[in-house]
Formats: sequence, C-alpha cells, structure tokens
Amino acid sequence: MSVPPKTEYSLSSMVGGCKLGIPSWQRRLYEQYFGFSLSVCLRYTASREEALEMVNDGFVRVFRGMAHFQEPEDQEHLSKVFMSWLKKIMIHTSINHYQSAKRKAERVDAGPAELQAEASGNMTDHMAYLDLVKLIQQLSPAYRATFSLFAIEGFSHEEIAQTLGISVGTSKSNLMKARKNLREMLEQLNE
Amino acid sequence: MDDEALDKLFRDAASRFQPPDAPEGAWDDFYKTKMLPAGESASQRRPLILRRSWQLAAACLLLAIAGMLWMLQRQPLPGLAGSPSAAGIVSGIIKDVPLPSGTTQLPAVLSPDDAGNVLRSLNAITTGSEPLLPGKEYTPLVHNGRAFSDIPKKAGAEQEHHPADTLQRKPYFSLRDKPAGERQALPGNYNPFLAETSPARPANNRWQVGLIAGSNLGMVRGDVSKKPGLNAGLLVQRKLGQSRFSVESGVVYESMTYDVNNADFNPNGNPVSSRVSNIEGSCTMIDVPVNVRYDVVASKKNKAFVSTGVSPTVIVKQSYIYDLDRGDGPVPINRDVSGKGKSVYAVANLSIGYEQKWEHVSVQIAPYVKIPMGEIGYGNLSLGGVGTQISIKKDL
Repeated sequence: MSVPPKTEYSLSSMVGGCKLGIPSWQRRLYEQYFGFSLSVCLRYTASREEALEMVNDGFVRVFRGMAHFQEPEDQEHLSKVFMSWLKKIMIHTSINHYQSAKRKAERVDAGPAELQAEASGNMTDHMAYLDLVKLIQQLSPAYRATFSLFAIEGFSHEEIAQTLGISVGTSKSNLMKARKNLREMLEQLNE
Repeated sequence: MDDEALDKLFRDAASRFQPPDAPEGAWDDFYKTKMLPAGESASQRRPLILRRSWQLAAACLLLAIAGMLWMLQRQPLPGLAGSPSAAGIVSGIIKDVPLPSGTTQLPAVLSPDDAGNVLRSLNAITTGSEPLLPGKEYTPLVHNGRAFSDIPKKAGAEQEHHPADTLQRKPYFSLRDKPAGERQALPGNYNPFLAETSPARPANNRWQVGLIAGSNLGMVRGDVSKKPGLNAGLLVQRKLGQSRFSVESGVVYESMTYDVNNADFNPNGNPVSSRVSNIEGSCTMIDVPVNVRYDVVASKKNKAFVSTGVSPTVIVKQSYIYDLDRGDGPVPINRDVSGKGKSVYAVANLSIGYEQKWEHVSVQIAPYVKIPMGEIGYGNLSLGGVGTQISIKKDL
C-alpha cells in the first residue's frame, strides 16, 4: 500500500482518522511524527534500540488515547498542542520504562556479577559520536532523566520530583552530578 | 562552562536535532508487534498455562487421567454393575443361607447365568410367586447324592410358608451343562458361591504406600554427570480396578550434581563470562511425580512394569563451583545462588522396573530417566537426570 506524501494530509485529518481507529491514518501520523518522537525518547534511553521501543510503546498510547485528545478550537494551534501532547506521552513512556527497569533491578538480584558476561560496548565506543544527545545517553538513567527534564524540557525540580517519584533534593543532586559528568565527557571530547 | 551555558548547549542541540524519517518497514513492524492482538501477546510474558512445557505436562496428565477413566469403565469393579455383579449380589445373600453340616462336595461352581437364575428364584421366593422361567428345566443342587430339597429342615424351623421352605421345595439352581462325570473334583471345604464370586485379588490391597530411596546422575542437554546424587521420598500407589494399570504419586527430595558447559549456562538470562570455566552445579529439589504404571508381567509374587508421567519440580537450593580467571590464573569460586532464576519446572518421567512381593510387603527397583520440559534455575538449564529408585511398599 503506497502512502501519499505526508504533506498532502493535514494534522487535523490525521487526528480525525486516528480517532476513528483507521489504520491508514494511524500509519500517516506514525510516519510523520516518528522522528520527533524518537528525538524525545533518545534523551531518556540508553540506546537507539531502546528509544525505538519507547517510540512504539508511546504510539500505542497515542492511538489508544487519541479519543481523549482535546483539539483546540483554533486549528492554528493544533500542531503545537498535539506535539506537546505527543512529547508528554513519549517522555512518560520512557520514564515509566526506566522506573519499571529500576524496580525490576531492585527486586531481582542478578547473582554473582563475575559469572555474567560484561555488557556489550563501553563508554569509549560512545565517545566516538559527536552528538550531544549521545552524551546524554551515557548518563545513568536517573541523571539522564533529571537533566533532560530540567535542561531541555524546562521542568522545575518540584515537577521532576513528582514525575520521577523522588525528592526535590535528589532531583537537585542528580542534576548537579549529571552536569558534572557531562562536563567531564565534553572535556574528554575536546582533548 | 557554567550550568546555564551547559544546559543551553544541550537545549539548543536538542532543538536543532533533525528528526529522522521513519525507516522502511517501521510501521509494519510496529503494527504487527504492537497493534495486533497476537503481536501484543507475543511481546509480553506468556502466562504459565500458555508455555509449551506446561502444555506438554498438562497433556500428559490429561492423557493419564483419560487412560485411568477408560480402564475403569472397561473393567468395572466387582459387585457394582453388569451381569457379573449378579453373582456378587447373590453371594451376599446366599452365603447366609445355612448349608447343611457335613457338606464336603458340591458338583460345580455357579456361572453368571446361574446367578441370574438364583436372583430370579429368590425374587419368586420373597414374593411367593412361581419361578419366572417355568419352561426351563432346573437340575436340583445335589449334596451327597441328595437334592437340597431332601435335606431335613433345621430343628425349630417354622412350618408355615417361609422363604427357607421354598428354598428347599423349589429346585432353583441350574448347573453347568457339563456332565457330572466330567466335572473336576473340588476340595472338601470348597464353597461354590464364594469361589465363584470372590475376586481373584482381594479388593482391599489396591492402595500401597512406601518409601523411596535411590541414586541419580544429573543430565544437562544429554551430558550425564559423573557425581551421583541422592533421592528419597514417599510413594503412594493405587491399582486401577483389576487392570494392570496403576497410578503412582508421592513426594521426592532429590539432590543432584551436574557439570555445565559454558554454552549451556545462562546466568540470569545472560551469556556466561568468558573468564569463567569448569562450572559444576549442585541443587536440591522437591518433585511430586504423577505416574501411570503398567504391569507388563504380573504374577502373584513378582511384576515387571513400565511407568511414565510428569513431575512438577521445585528447586529449593542451588549453588555453583567454577574457576574464575581475573587475569592472574583461575581461582575456584563457590557461590550459593538459591532463590535466583526460575524455581519451578516440569520433567517427564520414564522408567521400567521389577517388583517382588512377600505377603503384604513388596520391594521394587526401577531405573528411570527424567526429561526436562523447560529450563530451571539461575543458569536457565535444561536439567534432567538418570537414576535408580528402590522402593519398599506395603499394602493397605
């Protein structure tokens, strides 16, 4: 099935088609906003593969929740409102994934570490990429989420604490350590 | 670089980030794996009941139960239903009728047809009517050359109409068609009613309980360990009717030692480190075997049998000894990993055996093989075993 160029379809049409659950409209919306969603998820995950998984999980939420999406009366603001809603879903999907993984890690004792093979790849591999988003991905999940929410999304520490289920003090501490790590990475890149 | 400059650097970089187009086939993959119900279920952890090993175990169990039911239907217990039971019922009634003292020889045993006739005659006796088959010739039951009707009444017997009188007056037993001369002489204390109607095997020894002990060798993907382990437990066996089938169950505590190749060992679902070698595992398990047994050879004193079934198994303790090379040569490490990994799985049991019986006690020996129906433990191992169990059983 060939899909017409995405510019032929307005966001309003795509939203309307998705509200009716029509797969062809869902496909157009998915393909049009895939890149934007990926750019958001990359900041909250450790790898592109993980980010792709979050994008797909996020789109499942988008399509299931589309019926509840409130379109603004002024259609000119539709794109801004929709992208804000989509971004929020992608961030929450990624953070939920991070929190779920954290709970699982706390619950499941991995056993003797020396028995298990080392994780594939290391920091020096990632340092080859001159992409700041890639630097963020090298932060620990807690630091990465805190830094992205504060520095890029513009959340306050109170909002971050509420979103991540941590204290305001922990949020401030995480942000400070994330900045410190990023500086160190940048210095290494500049050397 | 101060904090604000650092944040701005990343904020600007994020805003400048050029979102890539969706790669070819991304939508198809997404739709297949996330939107379709089948794909959705495949991406989630499957419920226990849907896993193949448990489906196989459930199928074996259902087959065993179906086999038991089928055998019970084909071979009903004596005295419950059908024509043979008539003899059983008659036995219960007739054996209370006093036979004359000095009875030493009776000509024949009752056939099921005869028993049916007896029932009909008894019915006629109790209702006072004539025999139900008036046209049929009955040969009187003979004792010491006299028909039962000629035997004197017991002292004090009532003279009025009484079932016992009718019993004496009416010829109600038809005997086998064999001429008297061809009939085999029977022992002096032979009771034809009891001989005909008693089952060949007493009904009260269908249950057996016993103790099991044995030795085993762990087996991982066909590699059999050299170090033996032990097993011990309790066994309950129930014979199914008069068939050669029986059902065995019990609780067995089992210890096992096994060697593991690095390729077969996936600690916590991950491949094993290349710095690790010579992995040897040991575990203790509790399994609850549910087996169906068939006696291929069944005599009064000994039996040879085959048995199959499944054992839900819980691993209660596990540990590993291995060599770890940190760069300065291999060092032996001993780790207790109890509670890590999947602790429940199922194994299929296959065994053959021999049983020798003395009175109410029997001893059996049964070599067996256990085939894993899934992976278990910290290393996600396909852990089976071979071994021999010796059981001492007692009839209940």
